[in-house]
Amino acid sequence: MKHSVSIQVNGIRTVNEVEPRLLLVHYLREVLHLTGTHVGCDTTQCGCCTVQMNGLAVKSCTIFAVQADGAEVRTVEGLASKNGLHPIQQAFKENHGLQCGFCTPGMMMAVQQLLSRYPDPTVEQIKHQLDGNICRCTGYHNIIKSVQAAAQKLRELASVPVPR
Amino acid sequence: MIVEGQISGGFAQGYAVAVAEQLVHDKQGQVVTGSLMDYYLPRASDIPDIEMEHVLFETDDNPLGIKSVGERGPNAPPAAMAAAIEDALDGALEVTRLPVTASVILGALRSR
Repeated sequence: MKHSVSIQVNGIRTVNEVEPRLLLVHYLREVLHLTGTHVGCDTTQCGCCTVQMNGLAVKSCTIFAVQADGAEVRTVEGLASKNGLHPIQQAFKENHGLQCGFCTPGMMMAVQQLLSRYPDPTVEQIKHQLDGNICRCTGYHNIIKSVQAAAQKLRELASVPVPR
Repeated sequence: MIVEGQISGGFAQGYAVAVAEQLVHDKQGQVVTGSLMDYYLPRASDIPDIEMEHVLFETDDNPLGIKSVGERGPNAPPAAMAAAIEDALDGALEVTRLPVTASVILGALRSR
């Protein structure tokens, strides 16, 4: 039996009939064709499928689409704006915070939560907060640099009054 | 930047080979570390900081004098880690296979 779900994804309301067993990550990738969210392990270890649900970073391979009914979901596609890349994306680009890029979407969504918790994070805090995101090829050094750069950029932006 | 990224990532892989990653088979030959729940890939908090120094010279082995860098990273950490662990354990363990996990070290210390 299919269920109707209504999920706000990157600011757009989506309504679809889904199987109750459909995982959120498959809803995003296969129903909405938002393939920026990756499936790495399917067992909640690797963090490649990390998205934000109601402002919290979650692993979308561990959540059923029906559980996200009524929720607000943000994926990596929702990071950039029409003004360009998000400061986190910019920082990853400038600091070579990715190599193959497979973990990067999940990594950036986790980083966004990290920076909302710790606007000026220590290296220890960064490492601890990224414990749920595995990267095979960067060795994490440049990811940590990217997070620090993004944090600085976001702090600078926060101190500038936004024109209305 | 790309060169240093390759070395950084290669180092992490070599480090993990030395102390963590392991394909384990049971008696029937079934892989028992077949998912990331059982096969330990290092997390950000596992990888120590590293410093890099580049020694630049051309090779005579090809017309352009160029060398690769991508595969170099993982080579040194296993030997370095194994030597460091042997040294730290003061003869309690001779490392003959990788990875040298915490349980291998504990076992060596217990049987001393």
